[in-house]
Amino acid sequence: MWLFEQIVEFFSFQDVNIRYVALGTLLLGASSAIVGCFTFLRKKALVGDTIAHSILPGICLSFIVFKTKDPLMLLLGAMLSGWLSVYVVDYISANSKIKPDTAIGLTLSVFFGIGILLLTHIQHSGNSAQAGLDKFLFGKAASLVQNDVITFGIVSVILIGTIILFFKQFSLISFDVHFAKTIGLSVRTFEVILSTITVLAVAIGIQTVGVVLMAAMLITPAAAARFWTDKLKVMVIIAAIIGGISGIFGAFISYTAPSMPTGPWIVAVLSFIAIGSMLVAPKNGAISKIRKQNKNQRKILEDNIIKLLYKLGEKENEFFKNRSIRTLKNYREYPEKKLLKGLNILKKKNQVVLVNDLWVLTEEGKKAGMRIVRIHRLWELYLTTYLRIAPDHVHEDAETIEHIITPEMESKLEHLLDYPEKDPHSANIPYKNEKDINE
Amino acid sequence: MSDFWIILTGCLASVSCGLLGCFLILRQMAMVGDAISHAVLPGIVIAFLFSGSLDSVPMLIGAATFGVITTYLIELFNKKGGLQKDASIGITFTWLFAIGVILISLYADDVHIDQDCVLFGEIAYVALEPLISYIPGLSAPSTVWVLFIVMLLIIAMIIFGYKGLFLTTFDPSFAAAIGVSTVVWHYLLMSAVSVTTVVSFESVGAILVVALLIAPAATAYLITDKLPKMLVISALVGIIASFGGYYLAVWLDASVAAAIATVLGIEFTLAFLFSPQNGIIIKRLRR
Amino acid sequence: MNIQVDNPVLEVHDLTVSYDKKPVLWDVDFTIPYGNLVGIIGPNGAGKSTLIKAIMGLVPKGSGYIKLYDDTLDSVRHKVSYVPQRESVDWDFPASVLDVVLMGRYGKNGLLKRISKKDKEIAYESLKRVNMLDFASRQISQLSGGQQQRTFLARALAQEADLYLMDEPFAGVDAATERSIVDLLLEMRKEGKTIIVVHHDLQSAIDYFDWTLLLNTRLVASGPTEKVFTTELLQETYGGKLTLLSKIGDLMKEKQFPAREK
Repeated sequence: MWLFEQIVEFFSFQDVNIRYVALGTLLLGASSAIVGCFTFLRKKALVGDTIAHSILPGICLSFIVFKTKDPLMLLLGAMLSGWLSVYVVDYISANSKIKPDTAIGLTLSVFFGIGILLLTHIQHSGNSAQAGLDKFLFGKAASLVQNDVITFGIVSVILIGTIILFFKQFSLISFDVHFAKTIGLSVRTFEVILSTITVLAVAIGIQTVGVVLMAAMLITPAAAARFWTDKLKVMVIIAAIIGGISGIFGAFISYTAPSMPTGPWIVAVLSFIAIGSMLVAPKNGAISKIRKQNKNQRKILEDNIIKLLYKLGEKENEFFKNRSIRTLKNYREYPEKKLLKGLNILKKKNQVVLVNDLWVLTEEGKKAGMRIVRIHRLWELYLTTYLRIAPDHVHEDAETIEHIITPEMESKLEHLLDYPEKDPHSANIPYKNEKDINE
Repeated sequence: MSDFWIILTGCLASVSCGLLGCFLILRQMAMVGDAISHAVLPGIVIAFLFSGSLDSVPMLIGAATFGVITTYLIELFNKKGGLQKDASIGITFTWLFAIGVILISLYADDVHIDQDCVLFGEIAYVALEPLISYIPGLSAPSTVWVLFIVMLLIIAMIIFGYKGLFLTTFDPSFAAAIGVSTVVWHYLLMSAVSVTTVVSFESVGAILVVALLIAPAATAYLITDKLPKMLVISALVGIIASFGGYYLAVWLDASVAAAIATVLGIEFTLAFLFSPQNGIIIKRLRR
Repeated sequence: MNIQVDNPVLEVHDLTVSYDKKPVLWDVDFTIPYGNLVGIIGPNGAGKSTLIKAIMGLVPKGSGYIKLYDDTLDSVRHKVSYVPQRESVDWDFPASVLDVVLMGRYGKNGLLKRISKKDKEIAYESLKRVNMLDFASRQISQLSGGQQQRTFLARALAQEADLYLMDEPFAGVDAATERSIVDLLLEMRKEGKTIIVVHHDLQSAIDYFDWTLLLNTRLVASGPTEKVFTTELLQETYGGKLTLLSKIGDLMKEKQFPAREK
């Protein structure tokens, strides 16, 4: 009951503090996710990590030079050094044999090192005004106050506004830089704008989740969203929702256990959603792949058994005779369990009926079996004719492909091969009726 | 005397990291190294919870395990999950690090594994440790002993495994073609990185470890064209930074680890500009 | 036209290879005779590189088997040499030409033994044969395209193998280097070696190869070069993809269909 009470208390947002924290983390999560989509698509997912580690020296320098903790001044410092780091990474990889991943790791660790150097220098110099500078390192979401939320709000509006305004251009430079250049788009300018808003998102976001985890706020929602859609607009929206929800959930968990840092919980929720998406998303998810494979196995089984019945009928020139399991097994070796499973699937489709423990083909079943056999033989002919494969090598291939050919492909095959009567092994190719051949 | 222990700790960590870092950057796995250095955190915490102490051996096992897990997860997300390489790295390490921090706040809040320490360590603490003598006549803080042994192991690994590391780094296809398992060497290297990372944590912290893994190797890469030289120069660059960093930290009254990282940055910049073969200023002067 | 030989050095039977479930090699079937210089010809994306990689066990097979010297690859690895494409390697790597050529000796002595004097002698011999002896201590980052290719060749020679599989050894190489490489390959053939080369240029193929494989996802032809280089067969090879086959491949990928029933 206690947990339930907490849920009610939190989500009713009656407590002002809760409102601030929830709103703040929501905005943060959503706006980072939106910006992160573009860095993700440009395959620069780790740039977020670089910037996160690199803003610290700027903040400290700003404090040292301007002797103030005015957030705007600190932000300015953060943005400058964040921006510088992006430039340094690109410059190093473009002007030496240093590879991009090395440039990133080098820049982020050195910049961060310089940042800590300055920070500890400030801390040890006994300047009491510096207390709290280190919140940039670890993030203190639970202590968000009204001013912070207002700042988040403004920054989020700027970020989202910029993305909406330049959506087309950002899409182009993310997907096809060369094309963008050829149509005269000033790629450089838009790269700069994109970098700037990324730095801004990081500089703000770090105060909630801390340095190490900031990268996740950018990458993880985008990666999760990617599994659900191929369209950029949809991806951005899904990412924003995932980011926002994770933000609020993280805040909630931190609320129920006040000594818990919020950042890690937000990232834990994000990662859970991302990994879940990897598994579950239709079409691209891993579970969906497994489901497809199972479906294929079922189809292969039922096709093979109906084909078996048809061919038995063809051989004995009598299709609708009662057949025992033993007869079937004699004709083609099959584990009995599988045989029964397949026969039951066929029974449901009315392609066979069960009469006193014996199985009989129906008219429907005969048509279905005939179709598989026809496709098999047509495909064998296709392989020998167009792929020039030896006749004694085509059977296995046809055994597989016969299950996958659609009716549309079937008519293409018939047409391509000009309605042949015999397959490469001189077996008849059965057509539904004479009409088909003359179509 | 305490200066000596601090600088020595830095040097020992530098050598281990500098040597391994050469192979990391040549395999374009610098960020995987960065990921491992963060992702071992849960391993350390779990080891602490199981063993009830901050002893090195359980920590090393916990770290090596999580290093392997990290490597495996990155491959899994990339190959089976269809996720692009950089995102696989980013998601894996942030997730594991988040778990680590959560575990700390849940179970280990009062112990000195705190975020500060893990992130940037305090190499100066080494001077406060009691001296232990494993070899008669030679006594040193236990951190130093551990770092020393790990360094010897790494050196041995590189000497005996040189052909395998060279082969699988330079031409993995050819390696596979002659029947060498690239997977084994990959995991071997990453396990070594995990172990080195963790022994260095307590003294130099996660961020400096990343700097030590990448910066000296990158600097050496710009200075020389021969792998054996690159390994030696990488270790030297780290040693110089340990000295320089210590005195910089004393002068500025700041964190020693951070100062070492800063000096590494300076060394890299000098190489970037002035390296006889690759320095951009040298190249410009030649024209 | 798929001429089979008795007692082949390489036998590929019903080979299918897929990338993400889409077949890029379909039911490929051929035999190669001993002591020939063989060319694998086909348009871009035909699966030529994939074929070599499948033979070397570098990519998994969806169906079929491959026999070298009538045995599995693992049993005869010491007899087989693989020369990958030049771009598969980062030439900024801090190594000398000799370092790379010595790699060819790793298979003989294992990875834990040190490089022996004999290894070095063989390496130098190989460098001499490709006219790169003067470059032995040169850093590979300073090599031209042709020199890189010859370094790879020297490494292959150092393996002292009998069957050589080379992936585009003439790509991006100047005419003189190409000529000298071909001369070397012909020499090797005289010594009884079998050399299989993925090649991109039709014109030179007629001059260079005794035996040719025409490949475009499926095998179009395999046989002595003069027999295989007919207009009809070449048109079939270069005449564009088989649409129906391609559609089925896409369908297999979409439905995650296996290449063979289990």
